[in-house]
Amino acid sequence: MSLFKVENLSISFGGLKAVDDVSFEVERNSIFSIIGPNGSGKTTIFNLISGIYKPDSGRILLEGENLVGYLPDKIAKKGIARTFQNIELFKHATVMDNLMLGRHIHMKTGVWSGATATLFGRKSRAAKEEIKNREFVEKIVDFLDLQAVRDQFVANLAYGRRKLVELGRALALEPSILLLDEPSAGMNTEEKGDLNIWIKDIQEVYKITILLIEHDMNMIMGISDRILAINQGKKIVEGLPQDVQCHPEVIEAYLGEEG
Amino acid sequence: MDMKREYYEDIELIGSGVVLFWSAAFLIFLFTLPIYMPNYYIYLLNIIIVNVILAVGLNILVGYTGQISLGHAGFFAIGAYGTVFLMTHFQIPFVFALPLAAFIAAFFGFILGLPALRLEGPYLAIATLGFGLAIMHVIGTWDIFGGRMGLHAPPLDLGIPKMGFSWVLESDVSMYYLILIIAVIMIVSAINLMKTRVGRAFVAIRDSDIAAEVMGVNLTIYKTLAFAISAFYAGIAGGLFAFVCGFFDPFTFNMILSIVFLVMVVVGGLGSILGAIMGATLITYLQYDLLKNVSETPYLGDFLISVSRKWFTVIGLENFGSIALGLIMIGIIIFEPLGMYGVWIRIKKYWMTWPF
Ligand SMILES: Nc1ncnc2c1ncn2[C@@H]1O[C@H](COP(=O)(O)OP(=O)(O)OP(=O)(O)O)[C@@H](O)[C@H]1O
Ligand SMILES: [Mg+2]
Repeated sequence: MSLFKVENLSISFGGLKAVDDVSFEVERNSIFSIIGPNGSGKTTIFNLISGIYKPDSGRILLEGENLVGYLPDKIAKKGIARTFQNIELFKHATVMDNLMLGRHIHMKTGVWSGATATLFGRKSRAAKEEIKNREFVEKIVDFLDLQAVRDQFVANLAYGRRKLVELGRALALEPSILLLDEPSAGMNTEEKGDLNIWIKDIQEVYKITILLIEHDMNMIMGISDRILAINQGKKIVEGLPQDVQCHPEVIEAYLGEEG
Repeated sequence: MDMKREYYEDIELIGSGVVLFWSAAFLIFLFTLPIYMPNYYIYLLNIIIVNVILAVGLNILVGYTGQISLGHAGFFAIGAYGTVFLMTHFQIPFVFALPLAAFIAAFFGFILGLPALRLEGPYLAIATLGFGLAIMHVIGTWDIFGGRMGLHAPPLDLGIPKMGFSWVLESDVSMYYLILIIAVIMIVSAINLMKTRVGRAFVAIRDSDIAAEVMGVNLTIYKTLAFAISAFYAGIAGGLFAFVCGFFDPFTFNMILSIVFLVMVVVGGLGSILGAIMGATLITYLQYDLLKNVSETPYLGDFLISVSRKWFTVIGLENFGSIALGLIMIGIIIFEPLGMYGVWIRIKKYWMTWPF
């Protein structure tokens, strides 16, 4: 059985069918990419999966459990994390605090144990939990090479770095599925190269299943196990990279956009 | 360096020796203050510290969680009336009545937090404003709360009178120590809370509620929690205020008071506990003492009073108080959005690099 499955998913805004009867399956520990011209409904699919929108019809199945109707925080607790196309970080907090928020669902400290932390010092439950999770987050800091900006405020970081912080925050959640919405947008060639390696590592080392939205075709073709192409909310084709690349409708959709 | 130690330092209350030194020095200063301060100022100080407690709590809601409240005078009133009512009607000792009243305020905070899940910005402002007004009017029409006549606070007994153990605080100075100790506990708790999981969730909601949710923060729980905690602080402050003043009526907790509370937090610096402390101190001082001093200044005082009589209403210098408050607000928003805390950071930077 595949890990993750979307069945006949549809949503419309006003008269516009943003996602129209889309189905696909994602194998455990694979990289599954979604491509399509601007406004074709890619981000909307992610918003449906992460519970920000509720579909008009269709099912979203994680290991057989239907996630439709769950609020975003519940879906996060099921192990689905994501990044946003337009970066949604906690701007006035440090990189470390952003990453620590990613540990939210793995921590228990509440109002009482948090407020009284000083009283019990290093031995307090809050402090112990904090230390344990900081150790975890520190591994992500090392992995994404964020050591230098660890204590900086996110608002002061360059665009490419912010994208990485967002990726780090999603990783901190220890997801089983990671949704990346155009992670390489706005990055220079060197940064893109690093990102490519990191995404591959996330799949291979951390054993995380990845759903990826990207416009960079080189990256997509090199990294994906399978690709879904959509246009105007509808599925055009789904398959291996080389098959999707040569599909006439995909070529047309992309040429149509550029021409 | 030992790795574990390093992580603990991130959340330690007092990060460095310098901070430890100055915190200790300041606390010693505060605890010895009554020795060299005239009694009138102790009364003023008591009001200031009460407002500090409230402002720190309000800042958790407004500065850290990004929600607005124009109804905090309502929670303040619940604290004051609740504490006194529980003591006089149910003979509950002060040490239990105060936290109990604060929990009642917190419960109302939770209730007010529910509409906050759907409302934002101006709509939330109106809803909370309505809450503050409603509390004021409901209390004013109930005779058991003294109606429009108001209530007198009973003697402040820290003991348990029924068990024959009494410890009545009579002077402003003894009350000062009580309030100061409670304030220190409340402030330290707030700092801890903001440094750990719950505080981070609040900040996350403020900066991007959508990302907070997607990372597993339950908005219903945390938004209502922020209201409840903030109301709890207001309740404690209100309960103490009842005894500092000795007498209060519904109009004590009017809408203007809610606005003044908000001004304290904004002027002090949103999202900074130190800022809330500074803002509450400055604004309370302006309101209670500066005007009195100005009016007693030869020539200037008389001149301003005559100007006020001629051009404004008869209440006298308070007109200038409101104008000054307004100007400070506008100035802060234009020149230093981080408020007094922002100014403080600049001064610190200046001195650290001085004389270059
Ligand atoms: N909340 C919304 N309300 C109304 N229309 C929406 C909403 N969200 C998305 N849409 C519309 O749905 C369509 C698909 O948008 P979507 O953001 O999913 O596209 P996309 O494939 O991610 O495009 P891009 O490559 O530009 O990011 C667009 O026409 C968009 O205007
Ligand atoms: Mg998009």
